Amino acid sequence: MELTDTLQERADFPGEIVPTAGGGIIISSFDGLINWARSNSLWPLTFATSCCGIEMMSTASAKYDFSRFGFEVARASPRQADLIIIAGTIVNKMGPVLKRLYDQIPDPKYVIAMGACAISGGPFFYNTYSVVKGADHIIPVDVYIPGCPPRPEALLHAMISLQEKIKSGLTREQIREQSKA
Amino acid sequence: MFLKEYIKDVVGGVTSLLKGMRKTGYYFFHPKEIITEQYPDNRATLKLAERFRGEVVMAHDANNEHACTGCTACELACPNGTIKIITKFDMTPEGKKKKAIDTFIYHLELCTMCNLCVEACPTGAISMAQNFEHSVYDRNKLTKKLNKPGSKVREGVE
Amino acid sequence: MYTQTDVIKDTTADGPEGELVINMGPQHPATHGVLHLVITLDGETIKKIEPHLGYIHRSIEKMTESLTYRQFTYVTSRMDYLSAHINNLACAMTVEKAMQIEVPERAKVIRVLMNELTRIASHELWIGAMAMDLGAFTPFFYAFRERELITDIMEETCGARLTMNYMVPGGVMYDIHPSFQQKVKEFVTQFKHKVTEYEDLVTNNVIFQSRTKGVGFLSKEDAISYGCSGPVARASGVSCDIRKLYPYEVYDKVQFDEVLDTAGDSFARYMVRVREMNQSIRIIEQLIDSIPEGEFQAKTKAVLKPPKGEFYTRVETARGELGVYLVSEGGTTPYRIKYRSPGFSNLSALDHMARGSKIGDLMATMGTLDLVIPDIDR
Repeated sequence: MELTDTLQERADFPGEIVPTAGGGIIISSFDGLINWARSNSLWPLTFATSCCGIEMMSTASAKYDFSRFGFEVARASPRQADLIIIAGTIVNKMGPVLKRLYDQIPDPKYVIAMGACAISGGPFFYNTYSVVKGADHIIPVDVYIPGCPPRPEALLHAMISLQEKIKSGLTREQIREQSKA
Repeated sequence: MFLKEYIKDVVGGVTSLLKGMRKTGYYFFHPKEIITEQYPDNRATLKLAERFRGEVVMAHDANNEHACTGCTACELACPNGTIKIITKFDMTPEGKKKKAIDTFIYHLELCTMCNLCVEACPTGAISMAQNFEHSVYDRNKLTKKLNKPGSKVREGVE
Repeated sequence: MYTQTDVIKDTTADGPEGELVINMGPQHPATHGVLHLVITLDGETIKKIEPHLGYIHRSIEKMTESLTYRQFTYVTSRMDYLSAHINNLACAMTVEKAMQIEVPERAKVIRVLMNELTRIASHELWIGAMAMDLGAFTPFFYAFRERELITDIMEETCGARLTMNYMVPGGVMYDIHPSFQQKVKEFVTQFKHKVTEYEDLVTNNVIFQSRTKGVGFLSKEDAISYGCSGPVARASGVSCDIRKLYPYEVYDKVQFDEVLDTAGDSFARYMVRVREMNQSIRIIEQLIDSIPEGEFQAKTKAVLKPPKGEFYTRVETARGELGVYLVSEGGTTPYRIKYRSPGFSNLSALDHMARGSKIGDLMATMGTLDLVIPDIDR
C-alpha cells in the first residue's frame, strides 16, 4: 500500500494507478525469480552499423564467447530478440530505422550503447552534419561502454552489468537517482 | 548415365560433409585446443598488451603533484574535442603570475584512444592506462576530471 | 527532426502484374551492416536491384576539411575498418608526397608487414562472414580463431585491436614490439598448418561449391566498365593489383604473384581471396627477418603545411583500389579530400551480376563482393 501512496503523491504520474491488494511476499519473490531468469537468457539482435560490429562478432567467436552468459545466439529478427547492442554510428537516416527496430522488440527490452559513436557521436561529434549525437536521443539506453571500439572483454563487462541491473529489478530512473544520492 | 552421375554426386556430397564433420569432431574430442578466455573469472590473471590504450590518465605522485602545465597542446592535438582544459593564474611567492590548470576535463564518452594527445604532451603528464571496464548506467559519469582536487604542478616542470 | 522516412515502400500498386518489390535491409544479417537493397522480383527471379545508400553516411570527407594533417588520418580507420592500416597508410602517403618527406626504410618495411597482416585478417573475417551468409556457421569460429592471433599482434605493437592509428605522416607511431617478429613467425607457422582446415570445411564442400560455382558471373569487360577493383576484378581476369602495377613502399623489392582467375563467378572470387592470403604470407616471410635497423619515423615539423597543389595516391586495400585525392591551399587543414573507395564501384556491379538469377543466389553474389558499408557511404 505504501507504494501506491507514494505514487499518488506524484501528480505528474502518467496513467492510472490500480492498487494491489495483499502483502505481496509470493509475488515479489516470484518477481526475483523472473528477473533472474530474464537476465540469464538475453538474446541480442544483430544490429551492427560499423566498426564495433566486428568487435561484437569477436565477442561471439570462440575466444570470448558470450554464450557463456546466456547471450546464446544473435538473432537477426527483432521479434525474437531481447536486447539491442547498438554497435556503431547512428546517422540521421538510420534513426527512424533504429526506432522501428526498438519498437518491434517485445517487452522487456534492453539496450546497450557500444562504443563512442553510439554514446555521443564519438569521433563524429564535431564538424559533421549527419550523425546523431548519441543513440539515447532516439531510444533509451541501459548500459554505456566507452571505447572506440571497446575490447570484447569490455563488452562482456557491460553485459554482466546489464544482468546485474536486471537482477536488481530497478528502472533506469531509479538507478540514476540512486547514483546521484 | 544420368543415374551414375547422380549416385556419384550423392556419394561425393556425403564424403565432403563427413570430411568437414571429422574436422569439427576432432575439436570436440580435443579439449586442449580450446581457446576460450574465461573473462570475469580470469580478471586476476588477465594480462593485456602493455601498449593497449584504454583511457587517458594523469599520473599524480605522493605529494599530490602532477606534471601538467596547462599548455593545452593535448587539447589542440585532439581531433574531436575530448579534452578541455580550464586554466587559472597562480601567484608565485615572488609575486609573479603563473599559468596553471584549474580543471582537466576528459570526455571518456568521446575519446577514441588515438594517442595523439599523449604524443603531443611536452611534459609527459598524461598517459594511456589499460583499464577497460568503464561500463556505466549513466552517461554523465563518463565525463571525468583528471587532476585530483588540491593538486598542483610539480616543481621544475616547465 | 527524426521523421519516419519511406523505409518500406509499396510499389506493388503501380508496378506491372506479378512483380514483387521487397526491401532487403537496412537491418539484415547478410548485408554486413546497413545496406538497403530494393529488389524487384518476378517470382523468384531478380529483375532489378536498387541499392539505397546513406544509412551510415558520416560525412568523413567534409569532416577532414576541418582537421589538421596529423588528425585526419585517424578518422579514415573508421571508413574501411577491416583494412584500417591500409587506409591510414594511404592518407599518410598523400601527406608525405605533398610534403616530400622521405620515410625511413625501417618504417616502410613495418608498414608493408602491417598491411599484409591486415589483409589476411580481413580475408579471414570475410570467409567466416560469407560462409555464415550461405548458412554454414562453423567456419566463422575457425576464421576468427586465426584472426584473433593477428589482432593480438596488432594490439601488442599498435595498442589497439581494430582501429589502430599506427601510420602517421613520416613513418609509424611507435617502434615494433620486441616480440613482434617472433609472434609473427608463430602466426605464419600456425596459419600454414590450419589453412588446410578451410579446404575441408569450405572449399571442398559440395554444398558450398554448388551454391557459388557459376553464380554471379561478371565478365572482364563488365568488370572494367563498372570500375571494379581488387579481388572482384581479379577473379574476372583484370590485372589491377596496385602493389604490382604502381608499387609503393617496398612492394617492388619483394616477390609475390598477382592472383588472377578467369572464371568470374563467386567461387573464383572466393579462390582469389584464399590464394591472396597465401601470397601475403609469402611477403611476410620475405620481410620478417630483414627489417632494417634505423629510425621508425622521419623528423617532421610539429605543424604540417603541405604546399599549394593537388596530390593523389592509390593503395591496394583488402577490397581493391583506394585513392586519396588531396587539394591543399597551403594551410594547416586540407581544402578538399576525396576518397575513391573500392566498395562503391564494386557495389555498382551488383545489379548487373544478380539480374536474372534467383534470389537465393543473391547471398552468394553479395557475400563474395566483400562489401563494407562505411567504406561505401563514408
